[in-house]
Amino acid sequence: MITKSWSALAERALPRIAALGAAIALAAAYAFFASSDPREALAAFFVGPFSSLYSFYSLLESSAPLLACALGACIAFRAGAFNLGGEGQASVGTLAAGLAGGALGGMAGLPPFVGTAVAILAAAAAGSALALLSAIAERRTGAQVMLTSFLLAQAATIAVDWAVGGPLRDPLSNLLAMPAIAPSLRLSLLAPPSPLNLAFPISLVLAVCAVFFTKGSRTGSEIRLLGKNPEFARAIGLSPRLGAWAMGLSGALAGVAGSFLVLGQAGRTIVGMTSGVGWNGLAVALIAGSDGLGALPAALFFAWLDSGSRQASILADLSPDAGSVLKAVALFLITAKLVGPDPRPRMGRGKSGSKAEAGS
Amino acid sequence: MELLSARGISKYFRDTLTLADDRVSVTLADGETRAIVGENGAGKSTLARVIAGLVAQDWGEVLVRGRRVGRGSVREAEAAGIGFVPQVSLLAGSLSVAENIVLGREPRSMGLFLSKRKAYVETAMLVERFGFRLDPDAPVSSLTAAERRQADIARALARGGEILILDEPTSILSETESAGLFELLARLASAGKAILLITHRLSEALGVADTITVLRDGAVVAELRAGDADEATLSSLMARRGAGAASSRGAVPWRRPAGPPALELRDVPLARGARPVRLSVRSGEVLAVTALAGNGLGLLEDYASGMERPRGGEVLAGGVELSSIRREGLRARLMGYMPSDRERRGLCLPAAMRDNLLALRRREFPARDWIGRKRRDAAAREAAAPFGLEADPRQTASSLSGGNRQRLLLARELAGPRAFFVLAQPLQSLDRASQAEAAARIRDLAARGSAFLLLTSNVEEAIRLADRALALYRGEIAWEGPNEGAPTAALLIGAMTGAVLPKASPA
Repeated sequence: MITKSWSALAERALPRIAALGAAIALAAAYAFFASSDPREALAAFFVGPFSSLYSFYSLLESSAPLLACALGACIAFRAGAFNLGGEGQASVGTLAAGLAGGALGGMAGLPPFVGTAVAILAAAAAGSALALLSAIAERRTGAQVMLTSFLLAQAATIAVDWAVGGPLRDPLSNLLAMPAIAPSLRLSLLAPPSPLNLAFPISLVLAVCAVFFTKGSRTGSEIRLLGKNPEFARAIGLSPRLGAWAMGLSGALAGVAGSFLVLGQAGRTIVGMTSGVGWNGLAVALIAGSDGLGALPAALFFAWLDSGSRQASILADLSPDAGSVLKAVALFLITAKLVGPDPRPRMGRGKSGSKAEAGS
Repeated sequence: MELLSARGISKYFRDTLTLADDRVSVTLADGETRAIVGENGAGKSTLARVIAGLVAQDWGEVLVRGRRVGRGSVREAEAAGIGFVPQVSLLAGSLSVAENIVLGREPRSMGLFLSKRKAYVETAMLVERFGFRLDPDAPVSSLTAAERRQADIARALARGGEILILDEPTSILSETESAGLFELLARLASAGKAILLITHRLSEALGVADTITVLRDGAVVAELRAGDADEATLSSLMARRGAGAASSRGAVPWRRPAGPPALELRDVPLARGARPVRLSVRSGEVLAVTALAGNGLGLLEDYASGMERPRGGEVLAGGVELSSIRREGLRARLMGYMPSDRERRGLCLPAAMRDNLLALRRREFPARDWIGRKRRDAAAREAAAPFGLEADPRQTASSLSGGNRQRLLLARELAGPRAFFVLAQPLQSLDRASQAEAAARIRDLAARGSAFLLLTSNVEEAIRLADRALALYRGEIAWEGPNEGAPTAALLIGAMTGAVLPKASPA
């Protein structure tokens, strides 16, 4: 039994590893041709992130919000919903965390970890609320989650940027940002001077929880059933609110990712600080095949590409966009063909009556 | 010589293992209107599609004025003068009537561009000649269903010209719209066009056609002149062989149910403009509702199972509004439901047989996937055994045969007594022995007080299982049986096909 599940795991993992290898090879080729000193560029790209503990810890730090977003996307995928709003849900998360942090910072006698937890939960609630709007719209009007989550997220991002850069802006700062949060509320550093903080272990705990939730809880297994066949799920009497549950959780995790950004290295809410974490999280989820455990290596891989291209652009003359190009290539290679017969989300959830009505 | 002659047409569908047509021959003379009637699955549509070149026959030939038409070639069929009006209109909504009519053989100006003027003139002449009520310039999306049908016919005429084949042309039309269509067909016939009308509505066949061909199980069972036929004869000709014998039902007695109503529909409309339906099923009673496709059976299923809320009226389960009952408890304890759409609604094909079979008993097992697998497998085997389903609990539902899928559904839904059952074609795709077992199971559960609403287009199934039957036609109750005495197959088929029947004596 155990050997069987191992071989099943290998069957799922191998094509992904092969695709990642191909992406790395392409990265090497790119660095080779695009740089005037290919050797230095390659070294900076691949080895750079591991050349010092500091840069390795930075890599881990930047993977935390990515992993949280990816877990959220995985849960929505499992329920058959295409939550394209991760970016906006993370964005409202940064706003909520900033507001909560600002409000709690002045309160005397509050244990610091309580304040931090409240700020994270506020971000989760904000992201969740935004995602729930899409789920409710689908139930009420049949509007597709894929469209509404995207549109709402776009609008929310603009609104958050306006608020942060306008009425909520810190007048004393040169940044388009809200006032800094009290240091006691920020996520504690684990290995100063590196930016690695509590967000990383929290994201690992979230990953384990997500796996337990989808595979080991009743609601989780019902959500998977819903994703496999929504019509069947309805016919055997699963709650019609199940899809909303999944969307709410998905948005909450994206919101948590936003709070990681605020309470971590930045220490304040800055305009545009999500910078694609929602979309990258979606890509990570696709690479991981909607699997919570697979999301960890996939998130680390993306973080590595990011940090490698950053290093290569500093130490050699490689464009900092190289990382984005390579992420796109990796995503393409993996999702194009190699993703096996996993439950990939359907594009729409058409309501349809019985077939008995059709033709004679 | 006949204008059209189809000889010995046979067509076997490999996917569904059905012989749709078995050496069917039919002829058509100039100016003749012939109706082809038969039950669902009698092979009418397939025959029409073979003649129109849409389906390639396995055997037999189609001749027009003695010349052979190439097998499965729409182009050759049209060149020979055959125009086909499909059941579902295929016109492009964004184009005008004229543009649709010339689509695929557009008149060109300077050999290059579509000449809208020529298209308009051609269409206007056609409209003028046969008295269509159509504006050639109107976009098809703006047309009513009836006008769209006219445009379909105009298009078929423009492409074929001599022979018109119509497949269930009134299925989406109202009574008055249908009458208008038949006037048009009469004009076309008097202008010398030959018409082949596929229909399951007997009144249409008798009202319009000169001659009637009756198909049953893919074979011609009778050819009559319309003047010599009436609805009763046609109904009995259409009824399957053996249906009469089955109506005696052997040892199972007919009895009057005494229980309270378990499921009621009060004034629920099943079709636009149709008289709302009222029906109730009592505990211990098996009520069969029979109808042909497109007559409201699917909607009745959606409403009675609570999958959809009706647009009017109410659905009551044990006197309580069905939609107010929590779905999970309803399905686990109160209602057994076998949907007609087995693949999407009845089963979760990518999931294991075990998970499909135990889908309603999820609460009995641990929530964690990896705990209690053996218990689940054992429970699945135990539940499957009485229904003759022998399959590995771990194999996916998609790998089960049609018969085994059906057994799985029976095993899940007929596991024990419920307040009521909604079953669509419960005996479908079962062999004789399994059918008998399933029928016995249904009788047994009914005897223990469950109510059954049986939805079927198969009259034999209705007669075999039900205490009482009613027939739907165009979303209305066309005939409602008394509580005593078996309805005959001919009677039910007649009601399903819109024949006018004497009112049943009130129960």
